[in-house]
Amino acid sequence: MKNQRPSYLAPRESDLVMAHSFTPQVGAGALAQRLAGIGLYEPIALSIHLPFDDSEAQTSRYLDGLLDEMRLAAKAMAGCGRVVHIQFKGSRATALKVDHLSRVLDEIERQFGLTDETSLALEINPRVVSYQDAEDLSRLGITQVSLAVYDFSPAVQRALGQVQPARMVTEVVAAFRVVGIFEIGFEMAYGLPNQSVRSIEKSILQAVDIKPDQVVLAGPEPKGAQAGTCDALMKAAQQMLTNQGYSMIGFNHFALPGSSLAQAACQGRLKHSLQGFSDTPAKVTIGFGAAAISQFPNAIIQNEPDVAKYYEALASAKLPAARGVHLSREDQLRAAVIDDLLCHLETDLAKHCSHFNVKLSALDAALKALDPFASKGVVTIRESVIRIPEPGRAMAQRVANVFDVQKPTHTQLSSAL
Amino acid sequence: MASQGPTLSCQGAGELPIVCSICSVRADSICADLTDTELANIRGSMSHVDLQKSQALIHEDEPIDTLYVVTAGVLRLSKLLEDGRQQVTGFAYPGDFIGLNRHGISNFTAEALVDVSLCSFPHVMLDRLSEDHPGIKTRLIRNADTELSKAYAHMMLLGQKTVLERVITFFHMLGERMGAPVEGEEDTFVQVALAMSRRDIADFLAIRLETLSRTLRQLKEDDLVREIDRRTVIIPDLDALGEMRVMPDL
Repeated sequence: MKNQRPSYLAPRESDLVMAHSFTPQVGAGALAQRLAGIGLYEPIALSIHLPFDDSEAQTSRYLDGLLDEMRLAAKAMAGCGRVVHIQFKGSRATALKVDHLSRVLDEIERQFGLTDETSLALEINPRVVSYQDAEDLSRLGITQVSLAVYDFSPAVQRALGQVQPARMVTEVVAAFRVVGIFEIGFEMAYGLPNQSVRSIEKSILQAVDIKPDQVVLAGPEPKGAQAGTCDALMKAAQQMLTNQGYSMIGFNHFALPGSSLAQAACQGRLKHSLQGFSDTPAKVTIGFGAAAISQFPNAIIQNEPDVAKYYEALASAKLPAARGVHLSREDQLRAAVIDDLLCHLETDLAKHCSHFNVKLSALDAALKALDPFASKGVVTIRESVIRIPEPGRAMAQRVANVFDVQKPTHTQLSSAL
Repeated sequence: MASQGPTLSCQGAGELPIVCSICSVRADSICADLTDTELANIRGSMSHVDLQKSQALIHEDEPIDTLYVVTAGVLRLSKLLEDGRQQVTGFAYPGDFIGLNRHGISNFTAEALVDVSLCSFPHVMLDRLSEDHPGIKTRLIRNADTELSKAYAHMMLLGQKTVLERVITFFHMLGERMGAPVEGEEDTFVQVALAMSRRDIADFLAIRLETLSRTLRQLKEDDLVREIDRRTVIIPDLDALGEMRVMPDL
């Protein structure tokens, strides 16, 4: 049963790959070096790309590849690192196979170690979950599930070719809660075909009825003639979620007060990474599987996206990394500032500059680009501290983009203001 | 120190402190280089520390100016991770040193899992002692890696051993360090009081509780370990268990 992420939603990881200039020079060698540098009890996250719906034989081959890759990585890490979070990605695309997950988890425990406190998150397609699956997933130790809901309107679901009525999603969520999986996230989307402001408001209300802890609101990059419509849909959805008691976390996450994400936001533990906003303490994410991305403070490295080449590397006992980018001290400084703005709506440039040993003048161009935001009151700048007062939260991403060297700064304002 | 600090009981002047004459780890500790007279001479600086179960000896990131030698009981060494969880990094058994790090700041928390006795030697005193008794210095240097070697052993345990080997290595080490002979049985037949919880063991071995139970079940089926109750096990043949470790000891 296919459940592809609609292609016109802003891509998540590939976006990042496009943004940075990845080179093949930063590949397996760089990855091995980074893995060897992980500290003995350093918290790490694992991001496991599960196969999309293929034949049983292909799935089985892919799983063997995943396990080989884990053994190679574990060898490079030599017993260091402590797994605090595991994210299974892509599993919503396929009919769920609990025993596949179980094999992967056993290998993780063998190679990297696992504790009962490790949080295990799974992306899942609500149309393929039975009560038995929910029970099996709970037994495996899955603690968080994220459901690709997108929209409840029948017209939108028909256009997407994914019919999953609210009743079905309600039942699936109820099953998870019965078996003890309480952290439920929904991915909702704007900018879908047949969506209107009224339909998206109704759809969000239906979602809120089920009380997911967390809602991620995804949408396309605003551009062209549709930008205005998209913007209106996004604002309507945001408004509805906050009216219904959800706190806006970062720029596109919403969480019920008391949920782990909302607590992390209150306590300043929020982190922003490829996986979106989270409260994991890990600064290192190791990606497994074709096209998976590993993130280190000073490098981002992507695995071979081509499955044949992925197997080829593994067959010669090489880490299947294909390309990546080193992050300079200035890159890391900019990333820290962007994270601060997205997560906490506030950043102290001088503090970060001294931490990364970069001159404040490196950010001159960005500061200049902030002027128009400042004159509209979206940001306040006091000495080296930049703040986005609460009404400007929805603009946080655009403000943060100013510090991203990869993004042109001149086009943002017209769409932002 | 925790709100309830450890109790210190300094020895009276004159003779060899009673605790030393009955100390079970004296031959292994820095005291092994001291004659009875010398030992009696340092009594003023040395103290004996008793901890009750669950009292903390030292806290992570706090200054430490004293070297402790465990003489009885077991302590749990742990680190607080960024997410507020505790990682069990090891256990200290009789004869083990705590407080030998170079920076004067403890890199772990040590808590008593059962009633614990320790001898404490302030570092300033050890420096002074080393001048008169070079043997102590040598021994200190030789043992200076105790905490480091525990960390290294933990890394090897997690990095190079299968789940089964990790559990076997742990129980073998427990048997060696804490095993008590049982009357009427061979020397290799030992009974071990488990000071730590299953949860601590699983955390230390980086496996889940269920995996620990499953693996223990397997060891029980092979009669390598017998379970008397939740806190007591019997290792019927320590040598046989040792042969199954594959990797060198902790």
